[in-house]
Amino acid sequence: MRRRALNRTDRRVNIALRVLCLGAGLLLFVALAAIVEQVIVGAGPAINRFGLGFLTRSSDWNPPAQGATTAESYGAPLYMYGTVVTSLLSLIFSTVLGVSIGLFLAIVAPRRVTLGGRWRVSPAGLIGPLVELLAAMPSVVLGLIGVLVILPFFHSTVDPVIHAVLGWIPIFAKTYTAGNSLFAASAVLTIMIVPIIAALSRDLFSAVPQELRDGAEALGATRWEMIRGVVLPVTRSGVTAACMLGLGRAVGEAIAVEQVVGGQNQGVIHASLFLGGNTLASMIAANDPATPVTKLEGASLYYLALILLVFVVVTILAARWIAGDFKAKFR
Amino acid sequence: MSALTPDPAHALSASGNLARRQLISRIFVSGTVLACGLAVVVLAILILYCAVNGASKLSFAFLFGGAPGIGPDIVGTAELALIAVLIALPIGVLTALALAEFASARLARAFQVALELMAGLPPVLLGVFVVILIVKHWHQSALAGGVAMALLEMPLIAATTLQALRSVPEPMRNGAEALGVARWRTIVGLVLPAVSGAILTATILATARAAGDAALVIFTAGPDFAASSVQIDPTQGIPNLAQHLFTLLDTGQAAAAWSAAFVLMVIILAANIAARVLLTRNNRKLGL
Repeated sequence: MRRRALNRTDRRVNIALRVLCLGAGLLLFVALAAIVEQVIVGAGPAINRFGLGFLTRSSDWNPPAQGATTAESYGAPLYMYGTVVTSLLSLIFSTVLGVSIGLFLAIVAPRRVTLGGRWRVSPAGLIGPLVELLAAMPSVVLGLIGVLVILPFFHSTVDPVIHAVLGWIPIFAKTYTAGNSLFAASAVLTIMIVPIIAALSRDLFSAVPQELRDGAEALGATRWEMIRGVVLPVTRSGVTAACMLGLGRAVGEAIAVEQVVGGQNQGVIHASLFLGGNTLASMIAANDPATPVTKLEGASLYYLALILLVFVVVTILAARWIAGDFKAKFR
Repeated sequence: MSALTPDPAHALSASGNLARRQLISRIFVSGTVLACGLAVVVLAILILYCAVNGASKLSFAFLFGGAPGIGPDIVGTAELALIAVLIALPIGVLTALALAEFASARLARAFQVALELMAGLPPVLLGVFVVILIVKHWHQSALAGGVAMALLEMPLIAATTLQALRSVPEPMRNGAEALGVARWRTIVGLVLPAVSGAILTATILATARAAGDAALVIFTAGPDFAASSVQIDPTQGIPNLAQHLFTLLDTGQAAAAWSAAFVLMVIILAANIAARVLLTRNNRKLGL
């Protein structure tokens, strides 16, 4: 094989760039491995103390007062329950809303609306970027809106109505005095993940070949039948993956949830969605692991972080797997 | 192709009378309009509430002065963002290059999975990780906060850069190759300039997201203190907007929180709009 006509500097820089790039890429793996390893190590004392029983032992989160020697006891089920309930509830709301918005932007919205004969606007071109702006809203600001706008509104209007009509069902039973609840947290999470699902599913719906849609309509299908019969089945796995990505965000959101979820640590799982609760992420955010009361409390917080890590990784891998299925179909 | 052809018998068979079908269709289609309207209303509520409640209390002293003003917080957020970009931008771009230009197909797949995992990790976990890695052994500081923010930004920058790298036309690379140009010269002189717009956009968007995420900084960037003057020592704790807002909320100071939220929101939305305008112009330049 003939040597390539490169001078020595070029050859050296080539190799240097290659090493630099692959090194940076390697850093990614190192960072991921370090995150997993460090969280496990950090949780060590709690793992030693409670073992897997941490996942099932219902308990208060009561770190002892400074200097006291009472036995400490921590457990995760309350927070796992909060995470599962809030994220699934918000997933249901935001799938319906997000997919609807995606359908509107990609299919339903008229291409162009003429206003007063001169102004022509495209609704999708106008609303699409607004939805993306909603996705960019910082979570502390959403938390603020949650506390100062959504909670009072829920407390005065939504909660009493739902309670009055459906109060005989346990999950709608009691309402909490300030409005902080798992339900309120789900509402705030919904605002967070609707734009994610909407933007992703809009892109999917727009990619459905026009001929397929035209074919359906030519056969006499109504708009909705075309959507249900053609658009949704074709994009099903892609939309599911988008929802899983949204779910991943909901599971891990700490700040906005912490503000509105109520944070009641009575060690009891309430059936009612309208009572306060806590999620894994909000519990970590509310109890700064950098300055724990005792070592064991800090380790238990890391244990919660480890559980959260497992939840999130499973969601991401599931999303990837489903999306891969989608890509394979399209090829 | 077969997957693209759904079962036509499912929804296309005419069932019932046409009027009923059209009514159902109209109900669902109006449902999508309603959902869209709801999203716009929620966005309007978010912006209007912050603007109405926050803007009235804005003053020169509040914006640029020390506590109870937020001058030091704005400077602190800017410094954190700078530290984070200095870390995340080179690593993110190099990772994308590794994936697109150097890695074998199998390694590229592994990189891709790692990137997706990294991008999906919740900010609060990144904060916890930095606590264990840095804060426990040292102390809360702007550097630690910057690292947490960089961990969030890196996969975002890498993913967007990668997408741009893959859309660089192959003939461009082949032409350079045919002329006997060294690989690194092709990358530095041809490929990177072509994607620089995308990199810039991605960096702005990622920075805006990290700067607005309090979960990254509440454990890492220092105890929140109502700073009376600007602090810039990166080895010490630093006041910043997201954390300040979180503390204001936690301690029930609603009035000040509205103004801080308004400022944070304006900064982040402006960055987002700027990034999108930039991207559109860049795409037009590339003829996309």
